[in-house]
Amino acid sequence: MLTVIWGAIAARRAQALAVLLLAVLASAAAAAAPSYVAAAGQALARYEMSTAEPNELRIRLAEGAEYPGLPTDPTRTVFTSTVMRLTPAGFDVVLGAQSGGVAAGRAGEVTSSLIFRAGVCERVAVAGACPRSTSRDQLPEVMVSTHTAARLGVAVGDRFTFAAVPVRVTGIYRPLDVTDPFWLGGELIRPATGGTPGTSIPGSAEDAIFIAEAAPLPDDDVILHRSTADLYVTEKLLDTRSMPELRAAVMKLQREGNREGFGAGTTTTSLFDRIERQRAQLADGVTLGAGLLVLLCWLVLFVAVGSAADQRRPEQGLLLLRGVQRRRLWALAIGEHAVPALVAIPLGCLGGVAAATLLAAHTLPARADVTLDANVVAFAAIGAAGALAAVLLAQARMLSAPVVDLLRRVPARVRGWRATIGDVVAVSIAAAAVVQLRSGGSPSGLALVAPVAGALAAAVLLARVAMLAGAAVGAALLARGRTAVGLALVQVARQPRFRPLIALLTVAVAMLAFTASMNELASAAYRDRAVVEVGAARVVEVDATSRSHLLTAVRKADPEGRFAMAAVVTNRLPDGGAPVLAVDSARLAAVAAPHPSYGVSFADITRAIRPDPPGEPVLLRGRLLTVVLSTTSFDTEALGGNVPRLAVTVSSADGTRVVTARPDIRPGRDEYVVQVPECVPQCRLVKMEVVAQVSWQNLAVHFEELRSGDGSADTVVLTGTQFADLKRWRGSRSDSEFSARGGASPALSLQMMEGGPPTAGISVADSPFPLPVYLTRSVGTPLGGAHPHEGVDGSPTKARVEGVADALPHLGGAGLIVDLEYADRIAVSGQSGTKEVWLAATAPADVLDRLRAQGLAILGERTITGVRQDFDRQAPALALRFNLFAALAGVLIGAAGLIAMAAAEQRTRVTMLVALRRQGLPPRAVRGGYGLPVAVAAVSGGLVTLVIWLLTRSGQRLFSDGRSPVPIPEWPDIDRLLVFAVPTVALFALTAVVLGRVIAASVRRRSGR
Amino acid sequence: MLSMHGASVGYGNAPAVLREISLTVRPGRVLALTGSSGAGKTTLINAMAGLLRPRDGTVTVDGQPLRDRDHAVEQRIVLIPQDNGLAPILTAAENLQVALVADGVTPPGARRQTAAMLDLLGLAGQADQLVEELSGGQQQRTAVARGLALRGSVLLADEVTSELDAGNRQRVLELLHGEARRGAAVVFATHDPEVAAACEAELHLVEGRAEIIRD
Repeated sequence: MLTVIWGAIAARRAQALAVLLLAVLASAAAAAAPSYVAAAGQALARYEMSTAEPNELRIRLAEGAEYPGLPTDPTRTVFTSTVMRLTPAGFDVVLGAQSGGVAAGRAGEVTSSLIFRAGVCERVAVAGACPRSTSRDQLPEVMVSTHTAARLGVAVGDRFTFAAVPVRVTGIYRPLDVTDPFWLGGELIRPATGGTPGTSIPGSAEDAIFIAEAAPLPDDDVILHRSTADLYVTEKLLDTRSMPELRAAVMKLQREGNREGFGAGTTTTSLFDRIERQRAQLADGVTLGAGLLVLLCWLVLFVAVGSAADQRRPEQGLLLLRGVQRRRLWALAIGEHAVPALVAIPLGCLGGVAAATLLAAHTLPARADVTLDANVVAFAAIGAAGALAAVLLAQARMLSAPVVDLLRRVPARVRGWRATIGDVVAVSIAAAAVVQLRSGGSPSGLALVAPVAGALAAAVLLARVAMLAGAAVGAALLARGRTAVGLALVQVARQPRFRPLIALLTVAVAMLAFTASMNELASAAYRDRAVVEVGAARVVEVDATSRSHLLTAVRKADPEGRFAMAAVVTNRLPDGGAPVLAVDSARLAAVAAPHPSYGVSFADITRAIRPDPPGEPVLLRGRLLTVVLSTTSFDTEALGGNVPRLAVTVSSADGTRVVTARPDIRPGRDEYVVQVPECVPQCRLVKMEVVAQVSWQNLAVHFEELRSGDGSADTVVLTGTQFADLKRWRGSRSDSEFSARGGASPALSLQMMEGGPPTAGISVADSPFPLPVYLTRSVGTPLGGAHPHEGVDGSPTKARVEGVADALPHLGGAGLIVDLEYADRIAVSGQSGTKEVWLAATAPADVLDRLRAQGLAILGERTITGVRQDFDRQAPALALRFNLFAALAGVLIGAAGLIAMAAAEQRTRVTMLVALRRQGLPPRAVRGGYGLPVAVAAVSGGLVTLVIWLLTRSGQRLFSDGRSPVPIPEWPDIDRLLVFAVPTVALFALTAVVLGRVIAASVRRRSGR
Repeated sequence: MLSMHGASVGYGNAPAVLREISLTVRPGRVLALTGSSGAGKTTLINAMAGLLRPRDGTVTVDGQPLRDRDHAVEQRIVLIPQDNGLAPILTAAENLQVALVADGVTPPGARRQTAAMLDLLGLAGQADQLVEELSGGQQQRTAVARGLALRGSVLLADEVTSELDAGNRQRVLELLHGEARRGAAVVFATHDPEVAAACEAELHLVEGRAEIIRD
């Protein structure tokens, strides 16, 4: 039998080679998926590491007790030996020791840490030298950061004290890469704080001071230290260990560390969770592409081998006529094709790894190694086994057909129950997959391949329709004398073998269109989400002393309001309250990035949230504030300690402060002076209140004048007439009652009623109240309604809804936007939210320096481009790219199927056409007819794309964290889609034309012309 | 009028199958071409049909050298090949219609002639069947029907009765003679001496050489 099999392979070398190539393709397609998933998994882990919080990358073990003496190398301590025993394999351990204290130098002092940390010298650029071990007769050596040196006023060679221990500066360091996890985020290199002009050098005066091993001090008790060990997660660890394993190892370490009193603290498990989730999403995501590739490979094998088998039908019929048993024919068929299928496994492994390597190099966000492992081999074997099954299935009809059928040159037009069963199975699988996908939840199992299953089902049905229609139209055209086209049509439509080919080409076109559409949609969704979530081309998180400081600093950095805008963002509250975005709204349109999903223009928002204020702000300039008050008569003696006092609230760049005037309020007319040093050069009056312990009788307090200055030449800020202008004021409390006093000495009269609230006051009505806001529709408060929310100062307040938007910058679909200046003016006190500076794309290169010069400390930044790239580096995006690659490969497989089909039936086709030519058929009527499958595939591919798009689009994962807060476009950009679809159809059409030309040339040769 | 003068015909570099053949096929007559298997009957018919170019000598139509099969078709030389030359993917009727339309007949005319000719050959019931679904005899009659429908000036029929029953063979022979009576020159390759005897002329091929039995 082996000889016969070998003889069959040798006799049909071309077919064996074709089967081998296609089986290699199937095997490689199957192997490429796990190879890519493994490599992308590595890259994802590396990328997650690069963006992880410092505490997610290390486990900190710290000695339970502090010990006397300077921090020193703990290598030879019991602590270290215990740490080494507890540390799971693969973690990098950095040993250290640290003391807290105050460093005092010539120019000043700073609270900092004195730290011994192994390996620090390799990670800094030092002016001077790294500290060395010192003996008893030497001062301990330290190196300080640039900022610390400046604060202390020390240079290399100088001395200063740390916790009263004298030390000598041997070097001034700058971290080579402050983002290196070695620096523990902001723990060693402390971020700058707002308030004083800064520099672009990372860090602050509180940066760690590094010491080498020092000899014991004469009195070790003056300073205490604690040994630490930081266990770092490494790339190798993430590559070689599964996330559940690592999680278990870390939990064990924490358990045992705590038992030892080391207080093992870490959030590494959240990193492991993210990596695991991303890897799972990637594996799920590429299932579609891998499934498509393998399916197409099997289908093309089915088409090619089935076509070739059709040509061998008479030969098989003759063998059966001669008495050869069918089981021997089966054995021969299996043997003949098992050999190429087996050979395909190793070749497929290599091909898959090569394809994955190529793809990984172009798509992955970080370096990754593509390796050949058992998983890859197993998938390759599955691919090859499926190829063998497809080959045998393709021959099943021939091998089981009656002899009389085999002896016919053209197979029966009606394929019978097998084709129908195949269609039913395809449709059933597709229906199950689509139902599963649309039932909600995270897609799994069949749902992962729902698009390709749906495409196949729709394709086989449309192919059936196309064959029937093609045959009918072809016959009609022949009857009408349209010989060329009619003949071309019936040549295809009356050959049942063309049906799977049409389905194959349809699936190839549809899946390319679908995956290209998904990529296009994802790209748009990433862009949209990045635009909305970031809010402006670039958003810088800053530290400022107050909202007022933030506003002032940004306005000074960009006086014309062209490219920078101050903003404060509060987070969503635990109780679900809407987050607040407060912006310097006059700059919103110039700086924020517009997006159609907002449903409103920035100009409209600005108009709504920044109406003219009822009154102008009251600005004070000078360290003394004088308030002229007169009161109705009251008995101060009888009140004892309950005499009312005047409390003035002012707001400056340093924040908001309540100052109580001395002395207490006296009966009659008097001047009350308040010390307000923050009002140099300028501050803003927020409110003035009369505070009493109890309200014992009716009392009227008349505000007659307000002066500001340094005591010598005060300026009248408010006259009695201005006080009496009631639109300038509102009650500082809802129950405060006040009125205007006219006549010769106008004033504002504040009434305190007996038994009423003990505190009453007036606030400057320099902002609308309640605050006008634009609210997102999803929050639900109607236009004109009062919306309760937490203000920028963290206190509950109510806003008036002046407009409703579909979404808002930074907040997405839920939140409200207010004017920052107005919100700050009505804020009582306190700081809430994150301070940001939004920058337009046109911001100058030195904008950060400008902000630093205004005393803003830069804490971090994000950009629309960067956030978009982040989305593009996550598992769903990588899976989408793999799927697009698979679909592109699918197009080539489709073309290969067309060629294989044509090659298999060329002889028959040419023989027939030559016969017709001899009967006078003109040369122009000699056509391949392959345009029909291409044309059908183009049209039905479009239809199938539409069907699977409508049925499965919503189930495709675009974001690692689930749905985007920004509505995802319903349809892709058709122009971009055509960029893929047109070349695909063109490739098929070109293949069809070339194959037709080959047929025509062959017919010409055989016809003698 | 189709003539051969001293024609030698062969395939590739192999020795010539026919040597020094000279003959003239006249309108209104049926020339029987006889000879044992392998004697060169089909080769001679192919040469007369323009499918084979003679190595030596000439094949002329009305005095013009025959260039190739297309030229032969232009000169209305109709061929009914031994293997029928039917397109298996087409129905019996379509095989006729395609040839007729290619010959310049209008589509309605082609449909009418097809129906009439198939009816003449007893194939009216098989008109819409694929050729592959027809029996060998039905296929042969379909090929004859197509050859007759084309109404050529020369009709070359290569063993077109080999798979026919007696009744149909007689019908086909009568139709071939009818073609001659219409004015066509008919060349009819056959093994059957009785059939040959019924023809006006007979050319017997022996080892590649022609022997005129009757003229």
